[in-house]
Amino acid sequence: MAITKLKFPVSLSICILFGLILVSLQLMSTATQQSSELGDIYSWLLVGNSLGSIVLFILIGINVYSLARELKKREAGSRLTTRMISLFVVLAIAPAAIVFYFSIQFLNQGIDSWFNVEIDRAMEDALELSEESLDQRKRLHLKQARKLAKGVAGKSQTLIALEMADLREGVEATEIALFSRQGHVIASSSVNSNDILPMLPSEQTWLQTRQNQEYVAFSQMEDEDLMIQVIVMVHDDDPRYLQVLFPVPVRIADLADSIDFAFVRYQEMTFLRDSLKISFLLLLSLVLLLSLLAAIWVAFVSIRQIIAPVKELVKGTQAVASGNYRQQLPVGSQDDLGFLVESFNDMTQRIARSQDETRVASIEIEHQRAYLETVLSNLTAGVISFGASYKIITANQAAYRILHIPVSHFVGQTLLDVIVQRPELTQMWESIQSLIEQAEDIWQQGFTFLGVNGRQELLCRGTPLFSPSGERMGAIVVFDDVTDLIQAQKNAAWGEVAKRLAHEIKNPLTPIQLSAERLQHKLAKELSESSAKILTRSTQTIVQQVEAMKSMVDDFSEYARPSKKQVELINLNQLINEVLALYILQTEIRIVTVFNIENIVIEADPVSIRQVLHNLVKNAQEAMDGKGQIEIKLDKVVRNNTEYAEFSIYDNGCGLSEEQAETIFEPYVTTKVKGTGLGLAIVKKIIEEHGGVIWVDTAYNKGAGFIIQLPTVLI
Amino acid sequence: MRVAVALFFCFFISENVWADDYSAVINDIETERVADQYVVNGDIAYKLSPVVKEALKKGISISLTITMRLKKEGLLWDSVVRELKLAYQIQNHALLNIYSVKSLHADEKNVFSTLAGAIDYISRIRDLPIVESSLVQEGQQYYIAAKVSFEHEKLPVPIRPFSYFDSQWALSSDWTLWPLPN
Repeated sequence: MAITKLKFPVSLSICILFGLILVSLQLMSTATQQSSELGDIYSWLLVGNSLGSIVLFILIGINVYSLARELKKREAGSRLTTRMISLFVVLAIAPAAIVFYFSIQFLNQGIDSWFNVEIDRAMEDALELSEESLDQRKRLHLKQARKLAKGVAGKSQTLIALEMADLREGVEATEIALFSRQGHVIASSSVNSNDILPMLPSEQTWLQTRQNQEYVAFSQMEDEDLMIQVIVMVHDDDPRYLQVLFPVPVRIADLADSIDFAFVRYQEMTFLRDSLKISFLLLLSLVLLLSLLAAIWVAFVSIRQIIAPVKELVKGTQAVASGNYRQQLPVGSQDDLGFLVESFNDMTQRIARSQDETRVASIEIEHQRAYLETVLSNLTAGVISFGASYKIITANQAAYRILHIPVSHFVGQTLLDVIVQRPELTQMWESIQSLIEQAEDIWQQGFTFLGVNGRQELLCRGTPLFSPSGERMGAIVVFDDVTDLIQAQKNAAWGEVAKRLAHEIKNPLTPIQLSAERLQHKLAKELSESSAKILTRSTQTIVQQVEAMKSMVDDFSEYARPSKKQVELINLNQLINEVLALYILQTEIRIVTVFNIENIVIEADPVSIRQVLHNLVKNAQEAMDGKGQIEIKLDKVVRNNTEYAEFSIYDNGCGLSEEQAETIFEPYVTTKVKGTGLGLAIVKKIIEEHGGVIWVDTAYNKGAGFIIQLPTVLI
Repeated sequence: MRVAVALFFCFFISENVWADDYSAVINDIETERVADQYVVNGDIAYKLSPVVKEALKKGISISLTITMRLKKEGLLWDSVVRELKLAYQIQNHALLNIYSVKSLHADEKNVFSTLAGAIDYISRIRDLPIVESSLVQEGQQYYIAAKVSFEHEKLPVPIRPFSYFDSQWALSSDWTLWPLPN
């Protein structure tokens, strides 16, 4: 079950905060007034507001600390927040400080204006006037009291008690009482008949009375009118004290109270003058501090709220920059920033969609490229593509297979850089480079060179590449190894020649030979001895030459005849040993065999393969004039994922020149005085008919060397 | 920050932060049994500071409260059996040149021609009944805790906050303990 957190609206919180501050400050302001009932809670209000300031200060401190950390971490939006808050604080403090300064000035001047010398003097004069007025009354009543004391002096207590009421009425006193020396009431009389006891002087009063023998002072009991209390000593043998309470007229008492209140109030204000200033300063400072702190805190909260979408936007932008195009931001409000966030979301959606489309397209392109690459790599023709600066962009596997040069390793370089690998191909590369740079249309040219496996014929076709705007953007060269094709054409031509020779020449030879022998037989008896000798010698020459011609025609027939007659599995090691056994004891030529692999089996016509071996060994013997060493090696190699038996034969005879090496396998090409020049041609024909290759090992320079590769059979 | 707040509270709340320059001193509290109740007699020495005297002279009234608690000793903490408060307000009347002492607890008013007289009046505690003897258990230890408190909150608002931090206004005494005789 999802827990939903109720979030109090920030704006409402801010309103409540400011409301509380305003109420608190208003209460404080009211409490400072003298008559306010809130005066009792002034201190608590002060403490409350101070605590509020401290709490706000702590909140701001936490916010500042948090902002500083965000700045240090370079979090999104922290700089903007700092700038906005700094600006707000400066804008808030500057006018507040000005208002504060002038308010304090006005307050101080206002308070000072309450006090001046004239008012001071007037107040003191009023007080002095009042005092003088009251003192006169006091002196008057003192005289009256003294007179009464003289009157009662020497009288008995009983008499005095009887006269007390008359005495009181005589001086219009409120109360009159006679006390013994110890302070006991002897007699008394009061206006208020309910008063049983007179007012008793305090100990302090008695003390002063005993010291001065008389006492006069104002007296005011609780809720009673102001009175003048006079105590005088009655001079007797045993001194007594007469206390008379004179009423102060209500009007005079009210005026005195009024003047006393005003004077006291003025004196109090004078005393509180500095405290009042400080108090107002404190109040104003507190108001300013609370307002500023609250405003700054609210600024933090508000600016963070404003910045939040910007922060999200920055984070979103960073996410997009890092490749997350599916970033979606929550739309908080419907204002400008909300619109911006919506636009951002729309933009990321579009980018994500485009990215998906691009990805699909790139996958498609990648598939196409892979397909093209597969097609190119599986092409038998070599393909090399060039860029605008005629540097190699791609080269397929067939290029390596044909040229035996890893052209694909030279991507980004020109053909001339490939020369390093095979300097003998310099002329061909230069020609091709020139053609791709200059040719305006499709071109075709054949090249012949001595390849790794002998003479190679290449047929190159090239075409320049143009962009849709017609700019030259590179070229492509396709080349085929047509060596085998040309060789096959030559072989076919030679086969046809041989067949015709055999047919056209061999047929007349037998009648020629028979005719010559008949001439010898018929004419030898009829001719003279000398003539007969000549005839015999001539006919013998004819017969020998005819035989020679027959032999030559047989060779041609052999060359023209297909060699792969009866194919069977042959153990090549065994076959080689069998053939060599015929030669080992015959001459002084030493034959060395190096078989790295035993029991190599091939599928071939054993007669033809024997003929190949015989031809090669005979050639070697003849090249060495019957003396030297023939080395025969047998090994296994893998080429184009096919296993081949590699048979090589090396002699240390006169060897082959470079020119001879190129044409040694062609019919009627021989280095010997005697010979038809068909031996190696037949060898090559047999090997090729068995799916193998033969070439001159040009790397061997101690004589002639031939390498044959024939496909093996897996048993 | 927490330490600063704590210090602030300590200074603001405590009434006896300052040295005892002008603090009242309760010199003697005696309790005796009179009839069926215990009565208290005592003397308190007040040392009014020049500022307080000046304030009084300028018409500002000052309020003092004498608190007396009869406490019974307990195992863990002591319990208050009875509490009495004697609240006085002294004020000068410039025109009449008298000092009045209002006994707020007794609804009385006394006037004195001198400040010394007024102070002397509130210094003496005489025959103040504190508890009925029936409430005092035999064998149980009791004592009287007495304290004079100066009422800062009764001062005029402008000087009220500062009076808490001014030694001249620190007139309150500490709590003093006096045994109740069995």
